[in-house]
Amino acid sequence: MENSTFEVLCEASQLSFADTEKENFMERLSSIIEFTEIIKNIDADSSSIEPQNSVSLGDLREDTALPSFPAEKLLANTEPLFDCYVIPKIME
Amino acid sequence: MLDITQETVKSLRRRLDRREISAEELCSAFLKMSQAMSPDLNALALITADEAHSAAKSAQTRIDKGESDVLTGIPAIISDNIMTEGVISACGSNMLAGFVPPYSASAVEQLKNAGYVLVGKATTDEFGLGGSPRSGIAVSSGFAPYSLGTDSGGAIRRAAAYYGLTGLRPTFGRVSRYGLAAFASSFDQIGPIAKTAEDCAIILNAISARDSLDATSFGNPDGEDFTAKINTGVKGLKIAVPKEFFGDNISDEVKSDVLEAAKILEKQGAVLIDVSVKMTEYAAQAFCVISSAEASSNLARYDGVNYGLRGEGASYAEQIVDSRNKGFSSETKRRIMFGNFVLSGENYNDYFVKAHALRYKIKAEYDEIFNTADAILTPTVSDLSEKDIAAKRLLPDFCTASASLAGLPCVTTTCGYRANGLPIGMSLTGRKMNEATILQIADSFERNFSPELFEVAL
Repeated sequence: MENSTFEVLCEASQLSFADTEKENFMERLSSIIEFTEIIKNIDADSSSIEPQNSVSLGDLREDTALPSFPAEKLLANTEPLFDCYVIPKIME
Repeated sequence: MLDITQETVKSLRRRLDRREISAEELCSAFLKMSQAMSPDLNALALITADEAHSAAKSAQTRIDKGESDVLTGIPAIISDNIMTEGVISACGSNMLAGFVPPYSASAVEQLKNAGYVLVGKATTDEFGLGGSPRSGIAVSSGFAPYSLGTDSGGAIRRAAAYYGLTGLRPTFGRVSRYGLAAFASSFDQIGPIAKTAEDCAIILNAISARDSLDATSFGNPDGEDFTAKINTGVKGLKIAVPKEFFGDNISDEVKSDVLEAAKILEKQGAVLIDVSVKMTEYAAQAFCVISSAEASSNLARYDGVNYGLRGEGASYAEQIVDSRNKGFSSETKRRIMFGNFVLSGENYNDYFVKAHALRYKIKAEYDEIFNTADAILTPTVSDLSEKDIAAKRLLPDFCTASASLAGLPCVTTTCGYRANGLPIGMSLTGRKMNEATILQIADSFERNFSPELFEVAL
């Protein structure tokens, strides 16, 4: 795998690797690509794909407002501080 | 009395109903086993002793009032990637370490309504990526008579095969996926791991339901009782045996025992049919491509902002990368990167489209077989050495990926033991929504192969 391809994948995956671990990871990634590349020889294209009908799109639930979760449940994973919750900064 | 931690759900139900044991005594027996053995086995991420005692007390009240359900007071283990309200569900990931979900999965809600007793959460590979082997250890070690695991490429079935149990992957859509941390959404299914096919049928009765919170769920539209065909034998049922699963890609021990099981079923009245499923040769590769693509999308939400561990960084972008670097394991990162590789513009047609085409070809092959057969018999694991697996370019899910790709129900049960004493599993794949028939066949075999499971508490 070329370094430039690896860097593009890192960016798309929002991951980064130290130089010390990069080579090893690239090898492991290459092994899974090599393992699956046999399917490139299959005689098929997108026209051979038919809908699987696993989703009943005609049977979606009504778009109605439902009661929300209680706030204390939703905030159970935040860090409590006195009578407040600490919400980490999101916007720069 | 026999060791009750080794009894079936059905047997324990009888004991509770006859007042031979109380729900609290039952709960204590399983908790004692969990607390004694789990640390060494690393099977449980969490033991929920307080919740279990409280649930057992409520269950006993229901039993005393004559209002019990078939699972009331019966302990259970839930895989850690299935949400349980108020109980840590970390999905085996540093990303969600200590995460307490504010809601339960719909399948868990069904069990709650039935009065189940949660004993603990089974450890899982990160986000169920490799599956639920620890759910199998938990049941075989007597921490609970059954567990709910998750199966994308075969985890429930492999756990059952490795630990001498019965595991059912229901038809895709039979059980709601709401509250199951998504790994590969078009494959993920919740299903039971238990000691018998009959127990799996009992549990499937409880957890299969149409759920408006999962548009792909259809539940149990006919109100079918999955135990209806239990103990009715296999006379006249047609079982297909595909030759591709009995070549040099399977160890001789496994091949021999699964084929011996076929003969036993034949003696019980089943009709064996030789068939071919050529495309399954590529099933593991197709599964690997599609599941990694779906995983890369599903796991994109863990950015330390909306979900998960929060890292550090001088900018917002750096903070997200640091969160994901610290939160995910190396194997999960590899899957995410591979998923993005197959979805990238230059590889999409060569990998993702081809994998989808294979998926439909495999499904078509299975549909063709089901025009004449009631079930397809295969091994569950190849049991080859790691060296052989690498040399033959196989994946551990070589035997199980086809049913996952086709969205079909598949049950694994024990059909033999290797020379070293470890169990060998066989799988029975059925038509869409026809769990009852494959459970019927597995049950018929088990009554011959493991009669001791059916002799207790009669």
